[in-house]
Amino acid sequence: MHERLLFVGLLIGAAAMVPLLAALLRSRLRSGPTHRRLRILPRARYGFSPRSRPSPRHAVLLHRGLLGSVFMALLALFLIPAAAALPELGVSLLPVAFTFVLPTLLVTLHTRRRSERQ
Amino acid sequence: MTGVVLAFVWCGAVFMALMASAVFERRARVFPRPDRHELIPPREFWGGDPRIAPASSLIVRGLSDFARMARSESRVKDHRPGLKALGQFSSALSLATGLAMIPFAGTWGGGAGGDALVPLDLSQGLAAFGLLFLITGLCRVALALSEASAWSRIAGARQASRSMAGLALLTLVLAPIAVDSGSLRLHEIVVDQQRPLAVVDWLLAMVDADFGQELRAWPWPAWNLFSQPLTALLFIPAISLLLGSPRADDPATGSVAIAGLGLDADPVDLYWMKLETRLATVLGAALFVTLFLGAGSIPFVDSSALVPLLSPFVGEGLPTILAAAVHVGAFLMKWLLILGIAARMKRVAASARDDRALRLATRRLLPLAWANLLLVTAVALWFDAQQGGLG
Repeated sequence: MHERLLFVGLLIGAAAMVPLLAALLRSRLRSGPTHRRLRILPRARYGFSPRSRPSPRHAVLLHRGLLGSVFMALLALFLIPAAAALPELGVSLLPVAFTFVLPTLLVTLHTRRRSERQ
Repeated sequence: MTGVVLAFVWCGAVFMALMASAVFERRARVFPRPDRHELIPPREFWGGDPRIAPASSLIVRGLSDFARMARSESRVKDHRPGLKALGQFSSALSLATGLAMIPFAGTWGGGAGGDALVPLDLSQGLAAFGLLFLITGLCRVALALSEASAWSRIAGARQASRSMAGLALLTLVLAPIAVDSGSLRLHEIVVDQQRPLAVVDWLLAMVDADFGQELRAWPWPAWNLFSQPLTALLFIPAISLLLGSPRADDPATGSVAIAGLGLDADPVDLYWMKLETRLATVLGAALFVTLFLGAGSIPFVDSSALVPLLSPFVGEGLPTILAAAVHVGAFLMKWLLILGIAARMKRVAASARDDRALRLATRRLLPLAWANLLLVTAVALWFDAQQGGLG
């Protein structure tokens, strides 16, 4: 654990040296008579175009994609520890694994076909 | 003492890889092609040598970036500096922790049974990577929200969808490796790639016994790249989807994206953003070397043989360090090779729009990853049953 902390500290510390050096140089330059203060800028803005408006179904598609991705990620996160235990449990787990995997695969393929028809 | 030396060596190797990544990416993008005159950039008309244009010099570019940082600071009115700093720090921290988990130096003595030389050795390392990548994605979303502009919020939504789809795909891609090696610990996955290939073992049973014994004595590279090529192929889009950053000034796209992070950022913020992107690239390449290229192992060479060979002359300490150095050197060579290939491939391949990349991942690659998982599981269980039957 100490090695990890040392490595992460070294990496981030060495990376932070460049902006720290720039800040030091900036503070030295500011001490002169022609120093410039912090500039406050307005944020970038763009004009309006009717072509940039999304379609009315955009929100529906985004919502569907978001929910699908959340469930898929949860399923996938559950799968890694289950997959590690598979070789220890052996052949007896194969039917159970298939009953878990095949419905999900079928639903994925069905969703794909439905979206293509739309 | 060994741990401290290990941390310093690994830190040096990471900085070398960061520099190499910058050089490869820049060479692939801006290096002039004398054989293709139509590709020489128009900047040659306003000065500089057309063969080595000023913009192709990485040192000059680095110095000009430093000069920008040293000039007066700029702040944008609606930005939240606290959230931005938290996002930048947490993202760099999670990527650095991921790098600390890479088993780059093999084992003490070079043999398969020695202690693992790695700064952070977790028994659930592969699952921890999923969590670290999720934290990185969340930090990027926080960065996008800190800018408080509609365009950076769109970039945040892009990042969120990329993270979720990429994480789902990566998990399905990593599952066959866990099935094959029977462990989530990275060190054990690396050691598993140094055993003889199961297929080769099975084939050798059919040939002449003496010849078979002779062939069996060779350390065949049982890298996952050869035993699971589809997994290795699927890993590339998964990791690029997960770790690709929606920066406004992404150099790979060749133009400034409107819906991106850091559109009106300060040069210091841009520096942290670039560093985070490079760290992500370097971590992705290191993970590929670890999971698919057997980390620092060299095909047909057993580095652990150095210790008994040299120990009668110089004692055990120096040969053990030499074996670790050989391992680190081989890892570094493979790492730089992957970074170079990745830079060339990124330049050659078209940069896909986010919606197209997500559609490709969810509609085509996820079912393919499921099928790959089923295939690898079935093959692993079949080999287990064969060995059990033989035993």
